[in-house]
Amino acid sequence: MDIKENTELTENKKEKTQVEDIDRTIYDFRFDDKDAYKVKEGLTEDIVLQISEEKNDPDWMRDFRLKSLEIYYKSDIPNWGPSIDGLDMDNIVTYVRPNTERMHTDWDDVPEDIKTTFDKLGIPEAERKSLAGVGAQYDSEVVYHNVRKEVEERGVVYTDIESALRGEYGDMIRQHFMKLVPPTDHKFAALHGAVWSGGSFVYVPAGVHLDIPLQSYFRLNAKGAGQFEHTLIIVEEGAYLHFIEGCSAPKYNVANLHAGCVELFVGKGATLRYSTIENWSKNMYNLNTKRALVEEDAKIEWVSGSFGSHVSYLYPMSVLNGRGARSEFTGVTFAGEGQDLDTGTKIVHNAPDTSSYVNTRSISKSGGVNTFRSAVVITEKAKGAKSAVSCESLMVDNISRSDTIPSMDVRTSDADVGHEARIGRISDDTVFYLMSRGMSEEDARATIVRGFADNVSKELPLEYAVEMNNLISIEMKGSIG
Amino acid sequence: MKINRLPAPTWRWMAVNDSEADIDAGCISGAHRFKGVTELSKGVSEIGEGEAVTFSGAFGEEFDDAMAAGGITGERFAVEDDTEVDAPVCQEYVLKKTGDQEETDSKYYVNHTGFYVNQNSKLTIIQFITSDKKDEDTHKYIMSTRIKIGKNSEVKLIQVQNLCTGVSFFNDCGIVCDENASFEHIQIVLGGSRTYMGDRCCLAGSKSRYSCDIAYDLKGSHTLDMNYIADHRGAKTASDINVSGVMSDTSSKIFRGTIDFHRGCSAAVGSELEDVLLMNDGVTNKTVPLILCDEEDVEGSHGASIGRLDDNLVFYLASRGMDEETIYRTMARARIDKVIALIEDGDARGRIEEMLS
Repeated sequence: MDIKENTELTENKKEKTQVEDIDRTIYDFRFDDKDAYKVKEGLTEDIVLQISEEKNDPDWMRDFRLKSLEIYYKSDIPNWGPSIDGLDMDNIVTYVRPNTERMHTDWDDVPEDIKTTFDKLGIPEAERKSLAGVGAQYDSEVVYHNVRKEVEERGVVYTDIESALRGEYGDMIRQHFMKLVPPTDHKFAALHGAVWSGGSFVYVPAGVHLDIPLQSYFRLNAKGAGQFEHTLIIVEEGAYLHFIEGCSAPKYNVANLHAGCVELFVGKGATLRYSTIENWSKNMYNLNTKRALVEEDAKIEWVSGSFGSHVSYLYPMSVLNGRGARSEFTGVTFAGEGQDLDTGTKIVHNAPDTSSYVNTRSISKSGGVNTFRSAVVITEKAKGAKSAVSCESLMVDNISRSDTIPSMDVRTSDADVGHEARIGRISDDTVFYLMSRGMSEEDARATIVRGFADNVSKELPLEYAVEMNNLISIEMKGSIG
Repeated sequence: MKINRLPAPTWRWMAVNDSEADIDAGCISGAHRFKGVTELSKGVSEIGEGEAVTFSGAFGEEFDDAMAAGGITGERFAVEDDTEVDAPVCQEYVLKKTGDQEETDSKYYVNHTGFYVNQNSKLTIIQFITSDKKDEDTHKYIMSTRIKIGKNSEVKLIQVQNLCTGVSFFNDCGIVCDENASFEHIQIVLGGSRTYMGDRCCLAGSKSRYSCDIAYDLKGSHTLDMNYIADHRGAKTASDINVSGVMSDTSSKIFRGTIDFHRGCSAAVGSELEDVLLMNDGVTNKTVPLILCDEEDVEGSHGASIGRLDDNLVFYLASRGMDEETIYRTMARARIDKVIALIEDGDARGRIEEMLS
């Protein structure tokens, strides 16, 4: 074997024997925000009123913001979960309006730096190829929103939530806004209620089946800023929608904050698939709240890939409120160096014959900390309820950490609740078995790692922009050595 | 006083992070002391009263501090090196308000017992904890057991609790295992109003092992609050927690089971399994099985199955002529019998059968 061949072999072996950290250089670009309008750092009543005025809020929304601020001041920080000591609200800018006059429906009208941002992220291309509509948020404002004409003609509404609030859907928004996630839910829900900006409103009429997904993408460009978008989706009886959200930010050496809120109302017999690819930078505190209310015979499918953030608190919640309502949660979380990701799900069975299924995988490496946290509540009304939770964790090295903290509260005898969890490393027996079938050790380990997350990765939206599949591919190239 | 704290807390609204025990820490010092009637076996010696808490149990620091501050001491027993104690040490505890206890105003009754088993030895302890009449719901019986197990030694502790309605019982165990030592704990809970119990077993030495098999049958408004922690510190340690129970009427139960892999416990293996049969609506069941992992080279697993009997099983037994009530009673009893079968001592098994009949 000559030197070149040997070097190539060594490189291949190295590639296959390392699980590389997520390569974020393609996301780690930024543009100067000197022309943007920003409120001062910190959180005061004056700042909240400034935001409200900037948004041209109706009176009820302004009052709602102020009330939320009061609740924020009175609420305490959780005494569980990763430390958020590094987050100082006095240093966070809660509103940054990018240098654009208004929201656009044509990418060519979007300011150059913003357009370039989304081009690099593959959003316009994804829209052309495979999406029914796109919303793109840059810092605190939605800069682009568009939906295909044929989708609009079917009565589907997909617009930025602020336009909807001021327009014909104002009453509908008011009826639903922060009813599922009230400001009293926790401190950062209250913060969201006070300073929210941007986000999407989706309405799918009864019986409408949207084959192609809608997508929102959130980009936080400004240093030391927060993003507080609100997503409200109403899917009426018998309808179907797949909604995808993605996010990223360049890395700074100061904290950024994401405290968004997602409220999903899934009507009788409807199905909503909500996919998220979270790829915030490693200075981000991701304190997001998502909740779905699922009616009779309806279904919510959560697909969640968490790859970014410095600290995450993320627990999509399903409230199964009608007979036969169902929830499926499929998730993968990858915690690398400098990350403490606390993710999971909550399910409340509040009606008969409801069912839930949770399937999660987590990988910890390079000192990353992964926590899977879940709650399954079966109320007295949930006769015939079934729930199965499965959680597997893979530790790649001996400097990382993985915790599993599930909890179950069952109040009826007529229920079937099962939970299983496993934690460990790659099994030497499995490696030996594959090697006995002719694989090299490197290939065997690579195959096992791919297989570990395969049942999750195959659920992830393939039509999503390049971002997600690149993340998975990079991760799956390596195996543990 | 908060006891039975989860090593890693979770959402506060689930109300599982700890339990508020109706114990006033300051009152422990004035508590009545109660002892069991102990039949010592050959090879076991009494080494005199000693301080209560030298290492933690499941109840946690606040409880430990209260016991220490109260100056609680208790009986201590020891087994020397290379001693296989053939006959089990039998201890009988009858929880009651009058009798040997001094007449004070305290509503607290405290017992502490320590077992120190040196190297290469073997010991079985069988404790029956009973009460002879209904309590007025005001008195609290606290039992604190500490066991230190030396290298290569094995200790089995069997506790059978059959208490009357109204009795509040607190049963805290702390265990430390040296290299290649093992601790096996069998607990059967058949009665009482409010029971708080738990183990913290520190597997300090390499290859040490902890197993815990618990069976309970909760009726009426009985509450059972459990906290079991397998603290893996040494390499190649193993733990196995199995909990099997039946809940009826308006009983409530919380089971916290933690497998905690600390850094350095390479090749450790831990598993926990809970199986709860709910007989009717009105029960409240909470289950919190944790795995905390700070070490790569381990295997941890947990499983929980909660609810009614499998429909296929019910159909099968019904097809053999059993009515549904009989099926449920039989399967409920089977869960208790499974743990009783682990008790080798025939006399103890016989006594438990009498309690159940």
